[in-house]
Amino acid sequence: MAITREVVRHIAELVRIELTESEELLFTNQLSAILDYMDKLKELDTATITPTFHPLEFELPLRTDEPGPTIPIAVVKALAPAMQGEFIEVNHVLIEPNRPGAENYAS
Amino acid sequence: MRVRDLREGYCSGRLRPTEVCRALFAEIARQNTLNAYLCTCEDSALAAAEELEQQYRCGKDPGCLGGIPIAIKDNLNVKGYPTTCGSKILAGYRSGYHATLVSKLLAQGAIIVGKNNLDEFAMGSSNETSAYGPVRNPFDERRVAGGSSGGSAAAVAANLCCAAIGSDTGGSIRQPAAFCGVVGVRPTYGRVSRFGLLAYASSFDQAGPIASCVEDAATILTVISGQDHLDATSAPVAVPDFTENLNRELPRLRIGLPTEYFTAGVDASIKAGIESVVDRLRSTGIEFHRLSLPHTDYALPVYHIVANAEASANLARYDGVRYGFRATTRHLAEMYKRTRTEGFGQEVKRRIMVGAFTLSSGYIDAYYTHAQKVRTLIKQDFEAAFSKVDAILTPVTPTLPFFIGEKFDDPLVMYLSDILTIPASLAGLPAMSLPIGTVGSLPIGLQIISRHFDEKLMFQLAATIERGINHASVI
Repeated sequence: MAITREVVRHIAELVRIELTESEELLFTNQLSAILDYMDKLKELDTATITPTFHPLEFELPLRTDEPGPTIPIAVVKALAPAMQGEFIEVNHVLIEPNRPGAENYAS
Repeated sequence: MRVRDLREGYCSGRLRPTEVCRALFAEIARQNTLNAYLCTCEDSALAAAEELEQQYRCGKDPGCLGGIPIAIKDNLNVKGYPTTCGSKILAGYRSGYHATLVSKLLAQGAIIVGKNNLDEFAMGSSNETSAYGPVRNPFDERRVAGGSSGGSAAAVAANLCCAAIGSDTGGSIRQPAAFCGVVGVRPTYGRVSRFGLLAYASSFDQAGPIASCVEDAATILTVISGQDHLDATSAPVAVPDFTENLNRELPRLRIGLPTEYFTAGVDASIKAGIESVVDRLRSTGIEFHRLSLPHTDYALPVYHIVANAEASANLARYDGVRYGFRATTRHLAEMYKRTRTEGFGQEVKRRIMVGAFTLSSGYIDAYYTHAQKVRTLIKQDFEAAFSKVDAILTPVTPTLPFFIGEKFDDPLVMYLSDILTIPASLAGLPAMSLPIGTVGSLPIGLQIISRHFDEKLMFQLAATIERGINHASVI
């Protein structure tokens, strides 16, 4: 299935990846070829077939609802790129467009 | 380097775990052009070796893997050490816990010697997509070691460990094992806990042993198998001793040879090698049946739809928030994009984009749901086959190990490397690669596929073939 650069841009947005112009072109060609190959599955009629989401079905094991030890907070802190006290710090989440200085946060 | 020989050496005092470890680390450094290791665990390995030496000296048995040096593919967590998944996006991540299978190995006295190089996030068939450079084949360093467990297979083949643990999603243990002339086992789905195995495709991923002989692979699989309350997909099935029948005469077996696996697309020298094994087995009274697995040709597109759909969900967690690489940006949305753009390699981006597309609104029924239904048809092909035969023999790879760079620029050509290993993965079946000789100087492998949870028979058949093999050139 041939896909357009617009579709590739949309998928990139869905998976939170930025593509350069040359990457957009490369992926448009490659993804089209890969999806073309996948179109082979259209040869088969699966209207009456049940999908296989898990290769083997087991009864889901349940445990008693008792809290137990988890990953120590010291480990979490050591892994985090930035901390502020007990919290993992990230960049600004919300940007109000009309707020003074908002232009500094344009993407 | 075999488990039996090392253990006999340790028990008799002829060998010492500390000496074996020191020699091993020196050899890893000497053969660093293979690039099989991303890190070595010298401090903890030597400390463990000292402790084990003391136990052997006191006549105490430290476990069936006591003092055995084992390497771990770098998508499995070993506490205190990096897990990179061959990617820049996990730079700086050090695991705070062991994968369950690592704990099981350590409980039997194994020494973890290092983390093996791999295709980035286990996505690849040549170990060329790693952000840390390709792995070279010990048989010919101009050629690939296979992937994605290339580092693990190369390390075993080059005697840089006694055995290794790899992971197999569409063939990533079996294919590099074949390319590197070693034994590689993909267990039944659910046999080995996936806790601590960083997920690529959750309904396919399984960790398993790579070793120089069938006995070692069977010993290690016995140790690492078992239901785990930390992995809800691990099977509530008892673990037998997979080594029990290795030296016993085979029962009267019916073995299937599926016609779809012996087509013109498979190298003639590989087919000839397998035919030679078949002839030898036939002379011992085993019955062979040509059969058809009619939906084999659809396995590759099914896999690349379903596995990549699962991967697009599993890799969404790599966003720079809690661990690993974080790009410097002004706001959060930009942080996600910059981190993932700079952190992921091209093959990873390609696969998660394919996965996201096939799950997206307007396309999910035509691609993802339809593929999962074709997966049912492929599973049913095997069920029908196993009502007539007890095991299936096929080639592992369509080609001999290719040159580094030869297939890298064409993703579809690269994906075809897995065409013979993917169907068993789709059905959750156990399968293994057994080295059966060389063509010129390059190894070839034979694939054995068994019924679900029938690894014991699979190993018994493999051990029988292994004993009969003449490792001279097959053509």
